[in-house]
Amino acid sequence: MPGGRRSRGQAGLAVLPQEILQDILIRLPAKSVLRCRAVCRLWRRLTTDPAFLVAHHRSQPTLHLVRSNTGRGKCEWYSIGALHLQKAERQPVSWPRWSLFDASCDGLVVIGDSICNPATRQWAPLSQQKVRFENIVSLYRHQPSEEYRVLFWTHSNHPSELYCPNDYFVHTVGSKKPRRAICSVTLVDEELKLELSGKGPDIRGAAVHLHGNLYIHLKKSNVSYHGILVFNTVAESFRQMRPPAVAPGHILHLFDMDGMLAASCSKDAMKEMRIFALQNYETEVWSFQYRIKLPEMEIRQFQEQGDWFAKIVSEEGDLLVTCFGWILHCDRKGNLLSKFEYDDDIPVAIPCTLKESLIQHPFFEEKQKISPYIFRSC
Amino acid sequence: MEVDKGKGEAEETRKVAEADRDTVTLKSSDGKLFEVSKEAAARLSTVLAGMIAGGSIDDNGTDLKQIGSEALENVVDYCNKHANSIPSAALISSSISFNTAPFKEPEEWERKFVDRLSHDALFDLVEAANFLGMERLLDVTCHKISEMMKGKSPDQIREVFNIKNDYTKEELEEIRQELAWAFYDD
Repeated sequence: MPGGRRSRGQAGLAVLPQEILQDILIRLPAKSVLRCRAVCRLWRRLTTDPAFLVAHHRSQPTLHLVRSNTGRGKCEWYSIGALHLQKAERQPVSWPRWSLFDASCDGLVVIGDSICNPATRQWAPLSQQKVRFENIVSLYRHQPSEEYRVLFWTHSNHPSELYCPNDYFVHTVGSKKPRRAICSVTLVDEELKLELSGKGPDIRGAAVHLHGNLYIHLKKSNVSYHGILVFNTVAESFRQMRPPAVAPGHILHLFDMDGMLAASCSKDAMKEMRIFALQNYETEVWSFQYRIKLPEMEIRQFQEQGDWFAKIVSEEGDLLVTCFGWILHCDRKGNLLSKFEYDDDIPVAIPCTLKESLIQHPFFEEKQKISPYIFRSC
Repeated sequence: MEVDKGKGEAEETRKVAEADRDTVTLKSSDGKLFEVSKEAAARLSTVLAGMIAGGSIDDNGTDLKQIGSEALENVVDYCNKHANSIPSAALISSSISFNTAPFKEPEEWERKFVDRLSHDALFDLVEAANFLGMERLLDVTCHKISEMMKGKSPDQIREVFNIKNDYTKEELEEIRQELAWAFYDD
């Protein structure tokens, strides 16, 4: 080739500029990135660079998690599978066996009294001491200290605390003991006080993490009551927020709509949903956004009888519909986009999502005496 | 008759002038000339857009000394195909949901476009796209190369991409032990 470039020949990828190489490696799933670290020193350096790891985490797809029963009889166990909705496919993720899922944040998962990263199979106890983490509300990053912390609650033993009958606690991952987070907000109206009796309301769904706050949906079974508790993750303090003006008996679900707190509201979560968004955080005014009509006729093809349950799972208003043996994915216009079959009658769409991350954390550094085979691919 | 002829000539000149405006000529490192739609070149390449806007386009062929003829042919081919392609219906409808998608998936014709390339041609094209500031083509080529790495062992990756293993045996053993599970397929 006179005057032309030398043939690439032996050079292969080795002569590509490093920024292109990183642009290629960043598109790989976490497991492939780990394998690439064994290719050569340059690739190891590129794929362990902290800026690369942050960018890699950000570009990972949001995985939706579904818990189902697998096997039969004595061999029955829970398995948690991940759905990649954009590609309409299941994605292999490994979890410690038997685990139930409590909270997730930045690719980290809280399972019982431990924290783990399914992408790196790292594992650590939440506390250095034996602590009972009862009802975990959320895992969050405390911005000023960059520590990961867990918010959880227990039913209060003090009957006098009728107005706020839950005790809340904050625990820094890897530290010794949780500490009490004072919640002095009056959670219930006077007229509901008697009906609610001594026990506090339950927390529904996963807390929505937005603008440094956790928005927590409170609900009391058998009583028509909705409340929103706001936990500021910087000051670690609580306040109360007014929910949208919907019938108290309706099904309410909070979600993040493109950086705005939104709520879906439905009578039965089967046919129709109305979406409200909080447009002014100071005056707490909710405004109606749009309506979703579910494709009933199509869903009936998967489930002839009985109820199904639909829930919004994305910022754009995509829904997951739980039917007998199926999870269906619809968009907000009511188009059925994909379907996933399960061996289980009632697969459960877990309210937490997962974005894989290879970012290193100090609490994983201490070697745990646990072999990685407890992570099983689902 | 005279009038008509004059009109015809004027039309000819106008056509030539229009053709001049519509395309730019690019010259590869080995001296081959390629013509590409000016609109597509300006839209798809920040570097070519800058040259067109700055008037540094040479009518006899703008020198691109960094790019060989095979890669430049692919670049031009890509630009021309892009100029003719209408976004597919799938792409329009999918933009409603998941607008937060990290990387845009290549379209069907883009996938076919890179699938037919040899490894060397693909690597040359990714470099040319980088040099010319062609974000979309860089996206498509990087996507293709990453697809080629998925599911492969480190040994296979080294072989496919011609990479020298510069680890010592001990270092490699250490990495293998640390990440043993990652080397098995699910």
